[in-house]
Amino acid sequence: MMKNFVSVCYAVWALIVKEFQIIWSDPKNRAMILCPPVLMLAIFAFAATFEVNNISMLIYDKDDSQISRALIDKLANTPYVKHIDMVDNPEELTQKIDNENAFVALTIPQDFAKKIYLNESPVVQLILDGRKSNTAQVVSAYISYILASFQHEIDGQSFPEISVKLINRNWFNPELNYQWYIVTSFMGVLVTVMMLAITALSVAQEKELGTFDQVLISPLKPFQILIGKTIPAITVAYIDLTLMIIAGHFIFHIPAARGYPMIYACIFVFLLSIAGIGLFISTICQTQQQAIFGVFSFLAPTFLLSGFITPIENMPIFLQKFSYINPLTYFFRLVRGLFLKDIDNITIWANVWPLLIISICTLSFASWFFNKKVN
Amino acid sequence: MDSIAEIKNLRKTFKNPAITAIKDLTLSLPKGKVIGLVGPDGAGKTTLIRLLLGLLTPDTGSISVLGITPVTQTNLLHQKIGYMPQKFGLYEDLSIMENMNLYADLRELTEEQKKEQFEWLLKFTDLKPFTSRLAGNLSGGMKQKLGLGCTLLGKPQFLLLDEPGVGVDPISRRELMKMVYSLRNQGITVLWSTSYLDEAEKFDSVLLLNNGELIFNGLPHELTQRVAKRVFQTKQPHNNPRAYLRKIMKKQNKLVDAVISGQYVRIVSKDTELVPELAADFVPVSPRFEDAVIDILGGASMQVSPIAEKINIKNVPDTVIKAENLTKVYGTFTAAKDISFNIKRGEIFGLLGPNGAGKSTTFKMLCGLAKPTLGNGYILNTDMIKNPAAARSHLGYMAQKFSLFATLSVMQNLNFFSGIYGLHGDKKEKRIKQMVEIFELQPYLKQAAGNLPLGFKQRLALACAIMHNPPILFLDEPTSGVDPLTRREFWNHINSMVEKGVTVMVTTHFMDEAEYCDRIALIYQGQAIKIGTPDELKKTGETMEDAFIRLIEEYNKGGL
Repeated sequence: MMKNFVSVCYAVWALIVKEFQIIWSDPKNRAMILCPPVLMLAIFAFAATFEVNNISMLIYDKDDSQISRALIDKLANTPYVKHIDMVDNPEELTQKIDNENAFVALTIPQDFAKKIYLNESPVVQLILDGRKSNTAQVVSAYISYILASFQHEIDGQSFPEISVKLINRNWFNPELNYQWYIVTSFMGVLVTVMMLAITALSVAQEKELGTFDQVLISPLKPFQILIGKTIPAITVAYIDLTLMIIAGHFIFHIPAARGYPMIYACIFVFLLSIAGIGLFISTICQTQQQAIFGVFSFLAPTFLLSGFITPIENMPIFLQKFSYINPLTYFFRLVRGLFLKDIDNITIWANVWPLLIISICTLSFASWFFNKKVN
Repeated sequence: MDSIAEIKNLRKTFKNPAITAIKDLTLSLPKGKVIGLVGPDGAGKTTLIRLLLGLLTPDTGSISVLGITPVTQTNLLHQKIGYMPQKFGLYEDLSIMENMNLYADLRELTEEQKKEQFEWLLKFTDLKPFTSRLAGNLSGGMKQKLGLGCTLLGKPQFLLLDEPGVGVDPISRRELMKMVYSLRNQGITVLWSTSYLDEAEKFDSVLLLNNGELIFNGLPHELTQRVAKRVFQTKQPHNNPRAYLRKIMKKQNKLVDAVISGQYVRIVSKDTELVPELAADFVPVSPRFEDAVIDILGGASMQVSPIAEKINIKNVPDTVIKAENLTKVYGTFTAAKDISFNIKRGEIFGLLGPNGAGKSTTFKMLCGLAKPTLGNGYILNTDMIKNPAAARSHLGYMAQKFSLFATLSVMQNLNFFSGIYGLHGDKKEKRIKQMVEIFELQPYLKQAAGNLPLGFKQRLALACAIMHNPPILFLDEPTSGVDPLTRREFWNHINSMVEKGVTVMVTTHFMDEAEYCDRIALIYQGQAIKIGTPDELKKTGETMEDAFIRLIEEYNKGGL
């Protein structure tokens, strides 16, 4: 029995090694693994400088003090703001944002200077046009940065932090934040695509080549073959993820609030659930073309219903229910929480257990279906 | 004589891998004939066809097809010729009619032309009752007919067929041949590339290419003449023809070719006189085209495969494979019905039958790729349903197209296939080393399997299949589309393993290969309509192909 077990381990190991050799032997495959993270960074670096150029800004300065004017000066002198419009009542401000005359509005409260002198945190209000959610995130990150740097500049003294309050209107993007939001979300997008590509497409490719039959005829049991496909996929996903985390850390300065061990551990559960789905797609598809369609017909609704593009609260009720069985919903919450918010264990667990259940369901369904297909 | 194509001093080389596919070819193709294009793999057959079509540009030399220069006047040429590649691009999810419509539109036929030509083609191909059936649901033979039909749209004057018979059963091949001859009688010229040499025998004229050079151009029987009086067959049937074959291969250096034919051995000698010790056993028989091709190509290797010395089959019962009432039902369709047979230790058992008759289904049920609806299979007394993994561990499997990992190196393939059978450590190293020695793979170890010459691909596939020393080999059309020399080499290895007690189950469409089997099950309409030795299946004077067709026709009559 023991000897048998060792043999099986070697056999599964052979499957895993083969998978890596295949990925590595084909330059196209190598590019497929290494390019997306690099491409992502290139695109976002570009987006960060391009999209934020030439914005028009409204300022409603209720304070009209020396310090508030210094802040306006600073904003006016940044290359990203094309021009600043001053308004003196909130109605005009709302109207101009509504009509897309301005993209962003800053309201400086009456007690702005006073609070700074009293060493308290003043609160400014930033209204963004959430219809262009990506730009809104970048702009809000950028203005937050200017506000943060502003505090160090007056008289060289240390000032209390200026905090930004984001107004939430129904057509406004409610998610507070930065480029970080996109980069962390993109990690989810990329590993999902990667996992599905490796599990679903590689099985279909082997079916086309006829090598899959060779593997099926070996004494390996179906679940062992599945393990042989799952482990390489998870490993590649982790490699990509690590590349992105490194880039995120050094280029975008994304914090890892909850620490990397927890991040990696939680992502594992997510990867398992996606592996199950990929393997399921692979069992029902005979050709790579079918597998590509399979992957995309899974991806599109999954992304749309994950809260990545539209907030889940804004979806119709019956669609909201789908988000509960969508692994990406939990993944996005987890990743943002783990990277950006230092969420507590209870919150982590609240998002991990649904993933665990989804993983168990998808993996056992995939292996049941695979078994059925084989026989 | 009028010619349809003129080729002068044609030369074509490829980079990466650097090969000269066509060397200084000068040739004139006669009009209104069926011209066979034969030659071993890599001889330049497909390259020549693609050059004639204008899909490749020659390095030097000139081509003229129907007075047109293919490369510069491609569009004009394509209106006048029809081309059927090895895998004709039928859309499997479209019906016969939809496929024909599509190809008619690609050929820019008018509605009237369509109507007229469809009428004729459907009648010609006998596909009229099936027009709404999806192409994907057609049998291999019907697919080829439809492919040929689509090629004929637009009434081409010149048809180029690239191995239309690969993976197609003898009945369908015969029908295809008949169709092509009726086209010739209507004045169409056909160039037909093939690896079935029994097919080539029937052509009006044959071109034999080897290494990019034309080594024969003429009537098939003219080539056959070169081995006249040099072909012999044993007088008496042998109980163990394999052992006898091995014996004479070891001793004789005057043989060009030696193969098994049922219980007899058939040889091609270098001289018309046999050495005395053979002369007593053999009588002259009429030569075949294939004998002549083997001869002109320098003869088959008479080396006895070293594989036998490395094989050690122990503790194998007398009955190795047992099929018990195997039945497989897909929905309302019964693919296999009540198929039973036993295969003994050291036997080569062949599954023959038309495409879609249930031969693959039977094969799959016995190697665990399909679960029988009823009945069961046993491999070395291990229940295929109860314990499939254990049963499969006794099998070596080699499929069509060899199923290797094309981008992986030879060594990586060997490592993988030994690995999935649980070999590891010293045992694995030793076994891989043995395989490399037996199949002389040493110079290719680092090369990607996909770039190997065909013969070596086949060696590697066989090496991978027998890595774990299986007592049973399952071969699913292992030589489909493979030239006769490479096939001889393959069967040489198989024969020598069988002598050591390995049991083989094989499917094939090559009727000469069917003769290598000890016993054959002829599968038709999901049933084993006849099981017996090749000599039991054949009537006196019949070829295997005749027997195959007769048995099926007899069954059809009886069934009505």
